[in-house]
Amino acid sequence: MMKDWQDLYKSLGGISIDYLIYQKRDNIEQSKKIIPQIQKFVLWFLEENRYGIEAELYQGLSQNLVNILADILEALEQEDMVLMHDALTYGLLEYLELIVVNLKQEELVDDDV
Amino acid sequence: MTTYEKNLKILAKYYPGMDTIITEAKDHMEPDLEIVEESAYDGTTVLKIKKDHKSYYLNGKRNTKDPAKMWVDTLRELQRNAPVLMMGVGNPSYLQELVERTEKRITIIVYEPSLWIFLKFLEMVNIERWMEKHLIIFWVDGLEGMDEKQMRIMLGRILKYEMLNLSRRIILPNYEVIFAEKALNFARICREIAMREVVQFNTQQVFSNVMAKNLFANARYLCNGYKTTQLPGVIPKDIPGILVAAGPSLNKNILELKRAKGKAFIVAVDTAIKPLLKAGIIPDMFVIIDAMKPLELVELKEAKNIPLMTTLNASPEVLEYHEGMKFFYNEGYQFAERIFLKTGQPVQDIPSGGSVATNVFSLFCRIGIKTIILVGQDLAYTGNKSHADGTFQKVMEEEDTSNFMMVEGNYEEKVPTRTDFKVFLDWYNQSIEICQKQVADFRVINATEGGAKIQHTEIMTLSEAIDQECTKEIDIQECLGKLEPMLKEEAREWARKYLHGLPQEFEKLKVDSGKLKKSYEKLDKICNRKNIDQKEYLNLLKKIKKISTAMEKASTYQLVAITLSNAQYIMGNEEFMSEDTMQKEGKEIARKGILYTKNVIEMAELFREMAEDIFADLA
Repeated sequence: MMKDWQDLYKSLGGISIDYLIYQKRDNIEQSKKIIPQIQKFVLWFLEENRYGIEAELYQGLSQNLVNILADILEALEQEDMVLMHDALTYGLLEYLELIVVNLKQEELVDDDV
Repeated sequence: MTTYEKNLKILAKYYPGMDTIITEAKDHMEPDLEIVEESAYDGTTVLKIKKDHKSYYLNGKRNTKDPAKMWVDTLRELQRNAPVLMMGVGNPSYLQELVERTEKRITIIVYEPSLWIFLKFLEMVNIERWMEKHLIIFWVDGLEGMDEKQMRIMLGRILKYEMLNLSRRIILPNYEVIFAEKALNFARICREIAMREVVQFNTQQVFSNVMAKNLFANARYLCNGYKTTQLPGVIPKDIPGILVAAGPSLNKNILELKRAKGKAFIVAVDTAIKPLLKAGIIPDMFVIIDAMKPLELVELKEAKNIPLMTTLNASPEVLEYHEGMKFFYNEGYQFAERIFLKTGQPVQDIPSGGSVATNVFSLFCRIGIKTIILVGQDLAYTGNKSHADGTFQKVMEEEDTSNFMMVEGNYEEKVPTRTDFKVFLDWYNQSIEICQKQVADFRVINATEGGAKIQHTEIMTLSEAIDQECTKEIDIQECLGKLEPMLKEEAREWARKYLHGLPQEFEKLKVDSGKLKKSYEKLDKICNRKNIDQKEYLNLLKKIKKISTAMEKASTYQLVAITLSNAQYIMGNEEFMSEDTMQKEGKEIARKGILYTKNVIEMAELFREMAEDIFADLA
């Protein structure tokens, strides 16, 4: 599973850099291709508190993630590149960073196994 | 006082009357979109635009600064006066980051297509310090005087060739969706202006080497020549002017022109002369402006005496071959202007447009002709050919146009064209519109029967155009026969003496450049010292300025400067780059100054010799 999140992290990073550095304006099109992975990640995160995060914090993070997903879906519907960038780069990407970069060390048991 | 009111006051300080214009527009215009204000997570106001059942944020809720910061990071260090074109202020963080993080004074053109977003912007941020720090031009659709025409003029003044590689451009995210057409148009205008500058620069580059030689060789013809300003006095305005260009469609209707002879003022471009003469049609005038046009294109006995409109810069071989009346117009060469002024008539130019055909069009306008018929003005590769058969080759070869840009056609949906043709096409589109606004009943009939569609023209066949417009008999040669050469005997004698004296003027320029070079060398010396005497440094800069200003006034300097256009471009470009310390700056000024004056000295010497050779036998 971690491999999936690493791939998603890379894809989102690429979309984000294209938007920020190269001023590419196709993040809606690019995001459409990875929507299934995004939904999978959100469900995976909400399914259970895998990292033993404090309950209240986990609840807050979960609620925030739901809001991020809602914004991504709204951005898709409205074709709003600003909202999409905001939700992906300053929302979802931070979760993935937390999992892929910071919590990787703590993940002793791969839940795929 | 609210932020909005303060900003209006600031705008009025820099652009008197802008506050009133904004207030009036606000009172009279209906909103064309809905603006929703929301609070970002950091409390900043972000705008959401609702249009056509969709909604678009102009700034993010989670991070309102980062995209703008990253964009400014990618710009690296902007040079002084560098133009930055920005479409949109609905997310003020872009302008804010740019203004606050750019230390050198730059020129920022902010184009906002919505008055209502602009008004919100004025409520959201205080622009006082931004306006002090940089030159910021706010261009807002809907404000009085801010139309496309004025925008082109404004951008044309800022986007000069030497500034192009220093310029930066951004269309704020979502603007290209919300204002798709306006964003495309803005990008198109910028591209066209940049393209025009590049074409002009490249042309100047190509021709600068041969220019001086041509100018000197042709200057002799001024003594017995004519001016285009004499034409309105003898050419009737109530006949049509027929512009015969050499596009591939000319072959379709060339023979029709026989019927127009004696019923219109027929002026042909140089390349069209051969096919016309071979078809038995002698135009009333032909035009050559190209500095490197091969004589073969007009080398026919019948062409020798056809009146010619030309420039000092045109191919001297053609002017020497030609024996008839030569009409010149002012191209801004100072040494020639001195001769033109001796005619006692105002000096007048012909707006060029860049091609020989656009010159003919401008000539008709200057004369006051109200109906212009275009023939062979394809501005496209009709039938995949660049020119009519019988021009450069007996039968022109078809070219592969699969990668060419496509434009709307007169008869076909799309036709292939190339960059320079597109520049001329844009020129026609604008010029005809302007003429139609300025001159009542001004008409342009495009009788090309192929090629690219020119806006504001009536499309008809040449046969129909002749039947409809060529109804009055006229003998153009009789009209032109009434004219005397532009210089009277006394002025002609003065012109001869003046041209004889040009070598001495170049010698003087050489001496003055030598003085200037010495001053630059002194500047370099001063800047090598550990401690620079600031007073001495500034005085020397003043002296340099004084000598160069005096030198630039000489009519001979202009010829040298045009020839050194490449060097001038480098100087012009670097003029906008500044160094950190006075010492470094001074040394850089000296380095460039020495290099440039050295070139001027060499060039002045070369021109002195050339002028001596050419004018020695001037009768």
